[in-house]
Amino acid sequence: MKPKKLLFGVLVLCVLSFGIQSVNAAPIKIDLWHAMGGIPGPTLEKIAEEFNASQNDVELHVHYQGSYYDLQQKFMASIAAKNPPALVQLPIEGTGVFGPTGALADLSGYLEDDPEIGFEHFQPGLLVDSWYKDQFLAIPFNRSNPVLYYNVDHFIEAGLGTEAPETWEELIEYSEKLTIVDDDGRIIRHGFSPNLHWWTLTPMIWSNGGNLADPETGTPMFASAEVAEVLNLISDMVNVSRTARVYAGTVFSAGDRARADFNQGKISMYIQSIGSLAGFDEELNLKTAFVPRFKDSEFVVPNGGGSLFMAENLTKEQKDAAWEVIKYFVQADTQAFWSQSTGYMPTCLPALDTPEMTDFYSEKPNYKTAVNQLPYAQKIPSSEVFLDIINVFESAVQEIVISQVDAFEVLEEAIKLIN
Amino acid sequence: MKRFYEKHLVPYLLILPAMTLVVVFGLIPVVQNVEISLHKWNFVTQKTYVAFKNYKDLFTSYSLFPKVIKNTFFYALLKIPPTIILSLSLALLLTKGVFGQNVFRGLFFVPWIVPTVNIAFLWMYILEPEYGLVNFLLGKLGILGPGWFYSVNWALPALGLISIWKGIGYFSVLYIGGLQNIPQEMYEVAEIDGAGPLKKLVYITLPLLSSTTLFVLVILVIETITEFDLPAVLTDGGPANSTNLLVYYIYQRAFNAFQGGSAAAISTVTLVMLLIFTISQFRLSTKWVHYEI
Amino acid sequence: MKIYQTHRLFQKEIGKVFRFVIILLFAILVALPFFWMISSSLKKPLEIFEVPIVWLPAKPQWSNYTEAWVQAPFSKYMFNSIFVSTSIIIGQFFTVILAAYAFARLTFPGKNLLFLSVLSLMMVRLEVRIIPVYLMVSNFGWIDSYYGLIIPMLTSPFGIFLVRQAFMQIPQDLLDAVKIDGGSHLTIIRHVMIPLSVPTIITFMVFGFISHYNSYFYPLIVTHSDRFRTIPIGLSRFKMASETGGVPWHYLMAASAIALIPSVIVFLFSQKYFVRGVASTGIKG
Repeated sequence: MKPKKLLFGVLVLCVLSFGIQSVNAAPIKIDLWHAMGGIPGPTLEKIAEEFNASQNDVELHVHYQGSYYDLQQKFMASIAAKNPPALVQLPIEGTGVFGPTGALADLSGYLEDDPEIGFEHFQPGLLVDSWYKDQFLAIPFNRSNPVLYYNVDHFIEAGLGTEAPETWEELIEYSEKLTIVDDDGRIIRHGFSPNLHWWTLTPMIWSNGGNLADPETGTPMFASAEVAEVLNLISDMVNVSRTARVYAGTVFSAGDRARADFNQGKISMYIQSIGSLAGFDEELNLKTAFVPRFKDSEFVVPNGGGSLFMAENLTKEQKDAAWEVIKYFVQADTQAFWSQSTGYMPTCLPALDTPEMTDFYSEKPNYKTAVNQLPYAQKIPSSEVFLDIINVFESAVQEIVISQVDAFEVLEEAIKLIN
Repeated sequence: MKRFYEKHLVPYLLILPAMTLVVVFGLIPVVQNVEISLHKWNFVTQKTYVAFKNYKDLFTSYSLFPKVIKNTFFYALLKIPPTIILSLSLALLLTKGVFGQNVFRGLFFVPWIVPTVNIAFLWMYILEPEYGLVNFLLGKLGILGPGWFYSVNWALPALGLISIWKGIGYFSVLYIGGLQNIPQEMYEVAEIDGAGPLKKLVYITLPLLSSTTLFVLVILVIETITEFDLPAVLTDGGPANSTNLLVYYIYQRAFNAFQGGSAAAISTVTLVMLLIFTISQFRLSTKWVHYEI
Repeated sequence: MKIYQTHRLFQKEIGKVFRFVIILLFAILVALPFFWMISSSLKKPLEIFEVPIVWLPAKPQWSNYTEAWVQAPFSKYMFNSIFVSTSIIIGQFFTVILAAYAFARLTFPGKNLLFLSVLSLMMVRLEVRIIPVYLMVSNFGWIDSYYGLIIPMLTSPFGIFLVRQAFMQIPQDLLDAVKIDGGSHLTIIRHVMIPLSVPTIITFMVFGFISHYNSYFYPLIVTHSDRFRTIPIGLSRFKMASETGGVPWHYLMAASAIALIPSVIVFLFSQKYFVRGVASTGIKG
């Protein structure tokens, strides 16, 4: 065989092996990108399988993209490549971040016309983060808000009863009582772990009158006395009274780390999404409660979790197919199953009224905390630059808490980095 | 006609496949990169021409860039000198006829061929502050181990440590190659003159290894400046941006802040740094590198 | 005199032992993390977190390996990694050898400039060209496909540089002999250049395989579904799979151990050429 022929043969083989990919085009293929790891991941995949088994017109493929950060980076890159997936499960800030790109479809038409699912299908408080200007972009799917997790056994042991602290002032007090120091002066249990993530810090910041960004314009505004005060308070708990424990700056994000510590009884209280309630050790005597408020203010938490978004640049058939997927994901049965498996709130009202759900809540009241807290939930101040804002903010928080420097100066320097 | 074809067409035909790829995925992107860097662009909406604003912003207005440069420089200092010293020592030991030296050479090479992602996870576990191997061993010695990736001061040294561990085997093999090229007679002559081991090292080995050292240095610098895997897998550039290195920062500016122009400007600056460094090293090297072997 | 000699001999032996001990220490430092990886991959989750640490699991949990493997579609990732790296080095074999031959053995206008532009890419690494390359790959519609993973990698500037060096050392007489017999350039390449440069070519291909198998940055950016993800990207998804309480280190270590098998196999089989090749050429992927 001549080398030329050989070369040609190899080329032909390459082309052939790449070419055999898509042959029949009967069902419409819909890709859905998501960020659900841990327990929610397989649960979501199961829902997708059941959807595919339930009908023959649409073929749903779900693709895990890593954390919400990773997912948003990938999604932006796919928009730049003009090849976004038909459906994407973006976190709560997605509306503000991706609304301005024009890459997301306005779904209000579907909600108005569909006989089965309209605006009134959903818990009303969940829809505020769906609007970008006059476009309705986000269908609530895995929604949550942050709650306080606490170890009841530790509470009883420390003589604190079984109820959670209601205010931050109380929480600080409780923390001191819950912290255990051994004979060598080593701390073997911390009372609290503040989760150094923008979203879990937000209730404390809001309750103190501050905010990360202006809710109207999106301009960053975290360099304020109110935010600084909150961060100094946390820093003091970590570094001065040493009743709180933090881990920051790793990919095994602060929340995951705190969760592991909580599961092993190394911390007594921490703040995390209701969406990670499933999967703790059976014998762990845990309860969830509202996130504390400052003494002189009201309870307040940010909306959280994720929603389903549809790409704008699709054919009518693809959009209709994607809508079928969305409907399946937010129907009462799916939401009841999803909620019971993961901890996320059911996003639709019909699911809340099902007998299984009421039975479930009376058996496991921990799961209901987020629903009860929903009246206190508010819209987060997302915008085009929000991802940059939270990135800069979280780095500043790490610096403040780990390096023990005064919060206000660090925040003031940090806010200038956003452009 | 055949002669013309032979002489004038064949060479170009032979290089055509390689050159096409070099031009399309190498040279054109460099030019495009400069073009993008002169615009404000979020990858989606229309580009706006802003001339050199993106570059000025890196140096004048508030930017993480100076900190990132500082981090990268510090990382280079942490990583490059120990790598050179350790791999050279190892090479010296491994060329003196030690029992099982070929097995050792192979073993030391293994970290280099393993995916960085594997290495990163392995070390993340080993350097885990509470139940990790390193802090346990330090504890045995009565030392309270640091927080490593959770500490603003120790995260970057931890990356350096991993990177040194990964590289010494490879670089020592380069040095072994260099050592084998040194003629044995030179040592014999020196010994007759009464030179001890230290003198031989300083006056013969090191000067005659200088071309290898130059090569090692150039590779190490290129590697350091383009480091991405370790911060991306281990630290996300944190805590508090203490491990935010150049290429990771480019990635962050592009895909997290959606500042395409700014990211392209940083790429261009990095590229210029690489060129200046490499060219100047080869220029300067005429002063300190001995090629006469 | 005799005493002096024995003394010298004794010193020499002491030196040998001393060197061996130091090398052994180095070897422990290099091997210990790998030992730790294997040991941890066989532990029960609780043994992972135990303080003081558990050197060897009480009962090796071999099932960790099979369980870790199905935590994510690792077989698919492994196939992708091997398929992509193999395709790349096969492609590079052709592009590199043809170009190296032209640059080493032929004269043509613009040769130096063209060669310099190839060399420059050794410094201007992909990392600093990534934005335009990403946009270009997406313009071709190659995001999340084997095309996107393979085609931009089908040549290697360092390979060209290296193979050209080897080709330049081959005596002109051998080439002339083929020419007199009426052989073409391809005959020369096939029957003279390649057979006489086997160690260099193997070194460059093995290194190419390993560096593409290990590559994280580029595949991370151009893939977004499990159909095309490679092993390093697959491993990195353990980053977030920890919501059940702590990092699943035992799985992570087991998956890591499997993931490094292909590199190690390729390395072992080519070690003879490879370590020697690196020593003499200083290859860099």
